[in-house]
Amino acid sequence: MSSTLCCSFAKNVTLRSSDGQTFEVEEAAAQVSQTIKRMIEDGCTGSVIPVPNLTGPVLALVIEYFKKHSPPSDGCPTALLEMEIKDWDAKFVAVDNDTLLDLTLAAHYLEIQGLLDLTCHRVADILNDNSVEKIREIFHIKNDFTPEEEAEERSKIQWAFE
Amino acid sequence: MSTYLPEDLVLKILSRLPPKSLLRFRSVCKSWLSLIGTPNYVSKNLLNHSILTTTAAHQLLLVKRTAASIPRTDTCSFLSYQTLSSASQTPRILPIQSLHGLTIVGSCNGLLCLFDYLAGGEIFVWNPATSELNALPGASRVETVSFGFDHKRNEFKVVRIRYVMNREMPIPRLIWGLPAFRLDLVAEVYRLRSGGSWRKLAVDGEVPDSNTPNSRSRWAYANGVCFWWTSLHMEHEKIIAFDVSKEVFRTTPLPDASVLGRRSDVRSLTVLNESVAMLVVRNESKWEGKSFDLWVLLEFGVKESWTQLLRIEALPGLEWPLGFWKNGELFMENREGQLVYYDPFTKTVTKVEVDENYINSVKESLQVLPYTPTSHSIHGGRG
Repeated sequence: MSSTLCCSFAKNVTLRSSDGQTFEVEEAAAQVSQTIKRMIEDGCTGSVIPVPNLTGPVLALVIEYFKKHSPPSDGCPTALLEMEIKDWDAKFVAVDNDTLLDLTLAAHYLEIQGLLDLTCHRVADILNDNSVEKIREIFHIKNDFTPEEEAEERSKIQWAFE
Repeated sequence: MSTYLPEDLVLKILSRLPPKSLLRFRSVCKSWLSLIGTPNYVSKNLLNHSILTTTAAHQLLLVKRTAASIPRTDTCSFLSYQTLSSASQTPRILPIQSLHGLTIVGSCNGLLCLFDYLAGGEIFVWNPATSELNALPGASRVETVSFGFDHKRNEFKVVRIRYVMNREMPIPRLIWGLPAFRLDLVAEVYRLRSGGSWRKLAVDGEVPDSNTPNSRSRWAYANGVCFWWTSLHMEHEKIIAFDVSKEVFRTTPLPDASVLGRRSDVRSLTVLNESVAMLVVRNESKWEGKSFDLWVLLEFGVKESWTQLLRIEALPGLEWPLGFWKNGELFMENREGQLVYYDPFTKTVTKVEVDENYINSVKESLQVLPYTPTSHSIHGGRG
């Protein structure tokens, strides 16, 4: 069977974000998400699939990821493809911190293992290079130590701050 | 979208960080403090996971055994690193046999460095996968040897420390009726790819001395750095590190004797997930056996970063620590000269079957090293 024929048979699904935007995507591509895959298997394909945890812009990004990572339909040389995808992945997560955290959460909710590994790795790299104060800012974490408690905690391991 | 991250996601991210960063991030907020935890071997917190779990992908575990009787026969067996099942049908006999037994002073990217301390300090580099063997130019009074990979120049290096007679410094008296000279410790490097000769290093700081022969785990290697335990004049115990790429020596003092314990307790150096680890071996009573304190140096050069992780209370029959496995299990030699490992979480000892033709050996006979075969030539880089 030729690939053109394959494509003409490809089924699409519609995903709807929390703010009501809808996106059409190939069913095979959307199944990169384990959550969506389960929903399709449970017979939700007839109508629109709601994705209530993701806003339109984030869902649009995730769909880009789906398309790049959907199982290849033809015999592309895999080694080359892997290298290309690796490069693409690196560029995909080179975004501002808020978008990166949104993508991390999206990968978590939609159970996209590859994207989850990719984003967690990137977040860990960012953490490694930043101060405690900066990390609170990035993650919107409230410092719930008293100044005395924090000073005491730091004094025990002063070397780790140098 | 809110950027609040659920706890399991925070765990996933933090579990990728090295111990030093985790310690720093304990002061982000109280929930991170309790997530990361304190360095205490037996709790399964993030910090311990980061210290204990090996990230390196070793293929095999090499077990070297030396027969009890003289002449000693050195053999190697290979086990799967993941499962410890036997990966070789019969043990390999080392290509060089020595009257007293050889020491493997390094296993690095598929090559092994063999050292014969007692028989004049001969050094060999061996690739068990291709059987290629290279004898390095010899010298007298070689005290200690180490072997590593220079990641910058992409080549293997051997470093040796030996005594050299200083002819410019005569001692003002005769010994055996002959003029005598002072002996100086010198460090020399041999680059395997270039071959040729040993090159003397201009050394700024201290080098390991004669108190650190390659006997009984007084040295270790991790990720481009060789380590030695040393105690010049039995005064200041320290760890000396040699950076294989930069060719410089650095030192870190040991924790204070008040916390470390008696000086007579033997220190055994090994590597725990790319950090220097030291086991203080305490002889308890004859009936109780030995106990072991595990210390880890989280940041080289920083004395305060020595962290005591664990005390293995006296366990009858356990004789000597040999090195760590993938999740903090400690390989040991038992009193019968057999290979076992101690799991600190379950506090159990498991025997490792090396092969059927087990040589019933005496003490000081086992060596355990991670090993990944390579088909590359000794003289080449890693490719």
